[in-house]
Amino acid sequence: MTFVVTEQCIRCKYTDCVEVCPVDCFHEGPNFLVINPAECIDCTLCVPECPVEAIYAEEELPEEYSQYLKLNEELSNLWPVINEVKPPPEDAELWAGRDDKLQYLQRNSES
Amino acid sequence: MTQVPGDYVDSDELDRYEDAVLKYHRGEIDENKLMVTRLQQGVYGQRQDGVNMVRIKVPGGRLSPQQLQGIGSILEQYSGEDIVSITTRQDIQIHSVALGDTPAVLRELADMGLTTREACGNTVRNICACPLAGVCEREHVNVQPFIEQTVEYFLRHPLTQHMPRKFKMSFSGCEVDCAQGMIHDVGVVAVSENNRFGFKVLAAGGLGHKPREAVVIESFIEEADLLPVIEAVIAVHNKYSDRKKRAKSRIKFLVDRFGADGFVEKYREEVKRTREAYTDNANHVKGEWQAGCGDVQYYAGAPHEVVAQKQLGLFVFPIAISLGDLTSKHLRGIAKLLIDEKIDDVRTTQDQNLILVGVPEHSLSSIRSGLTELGLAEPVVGDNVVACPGTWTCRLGITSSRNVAQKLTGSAGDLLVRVSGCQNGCAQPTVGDIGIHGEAKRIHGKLIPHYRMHFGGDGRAGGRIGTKGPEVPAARVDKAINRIQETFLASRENNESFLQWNGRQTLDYYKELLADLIHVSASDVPLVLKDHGDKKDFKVLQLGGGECAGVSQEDVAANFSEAAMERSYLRSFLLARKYQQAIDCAVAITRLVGQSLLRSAGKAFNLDEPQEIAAKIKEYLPSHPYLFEPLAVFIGELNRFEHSLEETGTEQHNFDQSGFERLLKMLNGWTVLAGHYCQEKNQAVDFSSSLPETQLTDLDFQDPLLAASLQATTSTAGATLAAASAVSTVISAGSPSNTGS
Repeated sequence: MTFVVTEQCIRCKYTDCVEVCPVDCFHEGPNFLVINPAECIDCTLCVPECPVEAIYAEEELPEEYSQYLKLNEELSNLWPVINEVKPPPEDAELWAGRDDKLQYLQRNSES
Repeated sequence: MTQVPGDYVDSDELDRYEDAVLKYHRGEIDENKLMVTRLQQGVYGQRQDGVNMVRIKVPGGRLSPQQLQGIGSILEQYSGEDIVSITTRQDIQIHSVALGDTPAVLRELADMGLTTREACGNTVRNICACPLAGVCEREHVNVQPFIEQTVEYFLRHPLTQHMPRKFKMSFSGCEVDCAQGMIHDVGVVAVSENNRFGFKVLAAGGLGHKPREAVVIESFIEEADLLPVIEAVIAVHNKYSDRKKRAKSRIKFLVDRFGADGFVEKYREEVKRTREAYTDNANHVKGEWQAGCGDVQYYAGAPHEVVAQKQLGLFVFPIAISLGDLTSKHLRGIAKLLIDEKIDDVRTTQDQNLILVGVPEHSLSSIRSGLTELGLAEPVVGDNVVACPGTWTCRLGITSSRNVAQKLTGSAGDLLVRVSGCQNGCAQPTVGDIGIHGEAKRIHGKLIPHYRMHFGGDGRAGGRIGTKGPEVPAARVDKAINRIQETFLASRENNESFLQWNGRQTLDYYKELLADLIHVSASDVPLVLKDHGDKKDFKVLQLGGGECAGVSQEDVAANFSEAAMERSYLRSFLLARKYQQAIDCAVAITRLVGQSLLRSAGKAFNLDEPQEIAAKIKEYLPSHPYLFEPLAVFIGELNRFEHSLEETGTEQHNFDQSGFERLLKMLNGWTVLAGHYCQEKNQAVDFSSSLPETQLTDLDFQDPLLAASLQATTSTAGATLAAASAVSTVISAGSPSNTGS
């Protein structure tokens, strides 16, 4: 099993989750974080830390977020590990709770 | 001797457990269904497949020599390891028992008066005592009888069967609080105040990944008030603690949510009810209270040298048990020594040692030489190192805590060193002089085992949660601890304790002191890649999480459990002729059971009014009139009873008590029917023990034909539509407003 970061993280990118992860399995993109499923040990500590509730256990992943399972796997192989909390983007609060964010997901800094 | 076999052990339960294990082996039930029962019986899954850890509950750490012997025998027959482990909560863990052997182990434990019931899962766990209960010169009262009273009261108690998360309690005999109330869900501390004796009660403390100090909820209560107070805290836990997010469901998180004052307010709401409903006042434990000698200085916590008891001529003899590991030779040897010397009081301590209590002066040297033959001795300076099992057997373990612990010492300063294999902190790293917990860090693309350090913690009165220190690669953590100890010993002033010395250091102090050990360069990686004792490169196993949280608890089961609690309050209130409160309980039952029906039908509404709930049940379960029609009757009847009180006053003697009791019988009958429906929809959780024992055939109906149809209905949960209608008709026909009018 694993845990999965989903849409609400996009453009909010609060990194509270990183602080509690005991195995450094978060990877960082320009405006999103993902969990490496090969490293996640299902400790569940990240779930309640996220201020926008973006993280789900794989088996509780809502239907509308099902594509995030593969996305987390794919992107964690491209992106570097993040193991320190950093401030969220300045406009993070404006993006919290929006349900149209997948289109804004940036894979690399250039795009 | 304190163990009374009959009180803690239930052989029917052991039969059911054995049955479940057999069914699982035959493939008749799946792993999840077995897990519920398994955890309830204190049997944990291990890192290794197919074998289990069995946790023996030892209230207050009290054991007899015969029990030590018996545990030795079980170790020899059934364990895949050559040791049992003393835990930081005074339990004893037997490791690597084949699942098929666990029923036999539980029976053998039962035969010697030991239980594993509710040692794991979302239950009231073992209750810890201060080590010198009954013999300490400082104590105001021996807390052991109070612990036994509490254990008995809450074991299998309906309110504790479907809690959101586990619940840990401690009892200390004086204000020093050696049992560490500060870090418990409930900490009871005997106090003396202006020539009065009683208890101070702490609540909502805890460690784990978010340590928190307890808050004081009662600065002074009488001994008779103890159980209602504890019950109220458990009621708060049941009502408000998060049932969905396992990482936030301990009661301590309610202090974050409500604030300390808000939490105490919630507690006060509950304790008002529990005090009113509690009827056992005459039978409560009455302690022998005394002022105690306030100045006696013992080694903080369990003694580390022979000390005199308050009973003249008797002594406490501590035995150092390295890492809490007891071999069968140790167990049998110590048992024989005790029996020969006629000593029957041996205790486990929270720092994983043993103490012998009640040793006469003339026995001290024979005890000493007897222990020497077993390779055992009293503790020495620097041996106070406490460790959890870690990756040896625990599914949650990230690092090999035991392996590094064996390389550590408390040094000449006799520091308390605590080693945990993960952030859950079972070795209590945040309440030691130096504590460490395991984690993994990804550096230069590799996963490297590390330990997070904590400094200057103490779980006793006046203590604190330790300060968070730096993270050091596991390979270097022993060196790091060594360096800190040497620096402390060299620079301490006036023989100050480590806590005091640590208090004078800034947060950056340790980072600077250990800078070279903390930093991992690319060329360092191969040197720090392996954990202690590992031949292969470090890897964290993905075992799907531990079982410490039990099975995710359905709200439905919790509701039935709470309804059972309301039934028991109701009985008390009726006995005391507190009719308004009794009616309130009945209304609460209709609400709880009604909500369970809706949830089981897949509809989760947040409705409070029973009328609304009844309407929804009718809407969504139209083919089950026996589920909503009686509810409508109850609502009407309860209103009527309430009005009758308003007209004549609440304590009037002409309240129709027998009419009310008939209504309650029917309410119970309806609860049983609802329970059957819900149980069918929620197979993973077994809440049959929360249902009333009422048989529908017990209902007092005159018409024999109707009684017969009731009998037919109750035989299966899937009652036919016709029979179910008959039941509902009978319940309506039998209601007090219909008969005799």
